[in-house]
Amino acid sequence: MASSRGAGSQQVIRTADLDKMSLDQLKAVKEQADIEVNLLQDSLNNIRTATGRLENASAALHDLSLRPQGKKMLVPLTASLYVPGTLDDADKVLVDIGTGYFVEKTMAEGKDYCERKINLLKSNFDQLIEVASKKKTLADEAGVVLQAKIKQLSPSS
Amino acid sequence: MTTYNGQRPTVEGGCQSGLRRDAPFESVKGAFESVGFQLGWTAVTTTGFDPGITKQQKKNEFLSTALRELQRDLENKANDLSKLQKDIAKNHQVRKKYTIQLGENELVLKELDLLNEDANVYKLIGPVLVKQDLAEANANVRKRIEYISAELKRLDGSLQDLEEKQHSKREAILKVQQRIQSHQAGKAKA
Repeated sequence: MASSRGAGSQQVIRTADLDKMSLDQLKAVKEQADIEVNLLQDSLNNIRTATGRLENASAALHDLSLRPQGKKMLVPLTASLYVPGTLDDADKVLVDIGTGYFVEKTMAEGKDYCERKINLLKSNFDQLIEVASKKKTLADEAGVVLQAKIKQLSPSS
Repeated sequence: MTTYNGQRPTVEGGCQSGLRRDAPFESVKGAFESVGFQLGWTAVTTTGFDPGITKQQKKNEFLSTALRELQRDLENKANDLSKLQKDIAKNHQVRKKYTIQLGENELVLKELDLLNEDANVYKLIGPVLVKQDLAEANANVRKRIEYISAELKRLDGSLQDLEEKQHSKREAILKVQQRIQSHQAGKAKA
């Protein structure tokens, strides 16, 4: 789930270097930074969605634990077909851990699983936000220097 | 093919054997040597010596053939370069996919490690949930992780290879471009 961008080349560009660059190079740097910022924003959105889904799952689990055994319920067979049934054992839950594997866990373990996943996602989210804000400041700086240079080159306009 | 002084012109002998009265050839020889195109020799010798064609025209004719050759060469190299770039992009995509799968499998392994021996593990095969042995599931996931890591390493190797090829193609293209420029400069002067 953690998107590692460490594999790519991390170029640290300072403001002093930006000033030395030509117009074309600046444009290239700004475009590159913009693309990266967009990618990071997409990743952040994905993490937010995933966290939301996990929190829903956690809430559903909690709700399920409150229901007594033998309670009548409607079981969804398809998106539009529900079948009446009774709640059997609310203590055992099947958890999807990925790549097609499911594990039978107790209610407590299931809740714990959700909690762990949510925490993992939150830490990834925080890390990404740091990186994204750094890239954004770089993109903004490049944009500012670019505009200043354009103004310099065409003072009549 | 015309003969000069009873001798058939050869690549080396063409200029020395009995073409004395043909001043044009002497000056065109310089142009040939500067570009080093053997092709030029046969092209001129087979056209024969028509006093109507000036030495300048012959030189230009020769230079434009050479120019066309170079431009064709440039086109070929540019096509090769774009193919290389497409290959590199595909490599990146496959790499991304494998990296994601690797991450997922490592998560699964961690979860499986946390389980007790007696916990039930099921695998989703198509629409069927099949009960699996914990040890077997562990082994499967570990094997998959190994396979994906090996694939990633292989992709890394081929990516480096492709990048090197791309680099050398770029240099070759630059050289051809420089030659074209010097040609056009020569033509402009003429």
